[in-house]
Amino acid sequence: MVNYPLLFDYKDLIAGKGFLASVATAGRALLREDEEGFWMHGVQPGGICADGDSQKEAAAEFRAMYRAVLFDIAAEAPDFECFHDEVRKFFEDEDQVLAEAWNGAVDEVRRGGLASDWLNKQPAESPRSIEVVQIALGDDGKPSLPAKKPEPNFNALDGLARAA
Amino acid sequence: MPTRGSVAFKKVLKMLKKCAPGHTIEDKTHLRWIRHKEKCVRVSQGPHGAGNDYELKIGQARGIVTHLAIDPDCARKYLPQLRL
Repeated sequence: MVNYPLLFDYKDLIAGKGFLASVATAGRALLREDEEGFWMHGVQPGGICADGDSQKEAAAEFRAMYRAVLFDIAAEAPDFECFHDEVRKFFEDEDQVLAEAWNGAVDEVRRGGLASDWLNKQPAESPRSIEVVQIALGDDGKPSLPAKKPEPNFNALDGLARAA
Repeated sequence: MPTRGSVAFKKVLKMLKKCAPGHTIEDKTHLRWIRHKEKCVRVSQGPHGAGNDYELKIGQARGIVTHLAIDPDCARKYLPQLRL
């Protein structure tokens, strides 16, 4: 079994009950390769995992799983404050067992024992965070006068890198 | 796609009953949320209408045991294929 320490950056616009929210997550995951294929496990946030026949397939399935959690939270949260608190709780639920494996995998990368040319490198100490921002709605229910003024630089592609 | 290992979800339920007393399981819109002692794991719900009668991928079953901090020795008694 081989473990790859990953850093990911996801940004989503989520609709809830009467609110719109931007959720930007910089998280950690562990990609495991064994004889059955590839598994991507959430380290922070923990409690989610997905599989695939390739690294990219596992990463895509993991991305879908992560988004499904946000959708589940949005479906039940009665307002933005509850959504915000539940998403933060999700992010803070770190998997401590996998965090140790993740740190061990970073050490292995630094010793030069893990080659993975399909990913860019990023410092393992890169800050991990989550930002949940409400996009205010006007009286007609359409986005207006946002709580945080929208700028094109809000838009971001998903990021996936090998922690090193 | 090659078949990856899986376990019957009913066996996972039996393991949870014996090894994680007090756990709760809740079906949300998309995923099945399993909570135990402040920790939460989300797994797939299986095919529509399957209830608990479906196969869970072995990686997800392993994730339940590790993330919920279930005693691996206890989990192995009910799910020996997990290789914890």
